[in-house]
Amino acid sequence: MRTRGGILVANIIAGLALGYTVANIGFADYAELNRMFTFQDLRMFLAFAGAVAIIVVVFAVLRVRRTAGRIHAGVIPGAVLFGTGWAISGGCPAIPIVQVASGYLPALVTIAGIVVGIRLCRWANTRYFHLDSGSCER
Amino acid sequence: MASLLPAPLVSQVALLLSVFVGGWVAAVTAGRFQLRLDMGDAFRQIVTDKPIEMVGALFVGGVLVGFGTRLAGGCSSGHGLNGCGRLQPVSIVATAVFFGTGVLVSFLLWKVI
Repeated sequence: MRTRGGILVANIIAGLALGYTVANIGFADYAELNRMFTFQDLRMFLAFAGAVAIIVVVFAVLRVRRTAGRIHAGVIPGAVLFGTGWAISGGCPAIPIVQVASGYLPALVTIAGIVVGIRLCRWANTRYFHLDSGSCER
Repeated sequence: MASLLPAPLVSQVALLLSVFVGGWVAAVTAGRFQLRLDMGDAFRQIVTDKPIEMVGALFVGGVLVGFGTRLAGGCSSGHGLNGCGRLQPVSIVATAVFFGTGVLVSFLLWKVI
């Protein structure tokens, strides 16, 4: 099923499900995100943990093999930068798209920042870091 | 000739557009859709209520998200859902660090700044 057509259909179904679910859970709402991060409301933490649990079971049933996933030097500093940006802007990479779709037009600025950040890191990695690729790199 | 290539550009664009459509359908059907030029009351109270500062905060936050995602090799979906779902140590470490940092920065924004 790993043909171009299959991938296209899978991406459309996954994208629709992701956008719809993320918006309804509240991940696109800055107030909800801040309440999660400050432990005022654990609902979204539990939703995230529940999603991971479901994926663990599905991957186990489908016997999806684990990839190497080496812990390289960029993982921790990258995660620190990502967590900081997420808490400030309320957007992890896909969320600002849902925010714009919900009517929050300033999230377009977040999207522009993300594109700049990705290109900046690609340039810095090529020039200085020389790190290997990870799950979102491919 | 059926190819076994990685997702081409059209599939990636389709994914992003589908995320948009899915979010829009959810917002409209829930009665939450409203075009606005701010990020909501919480952002105004916790981060800033000045439009120029809001644009700056969103842009800087976005750059950090993009740079960090690329540097860590994953995001809340790539590491948090997919990687943790496969019980990959690198993803568990990354997810713990970015959630921990999110908690720390949010408390700083909420209580200090």
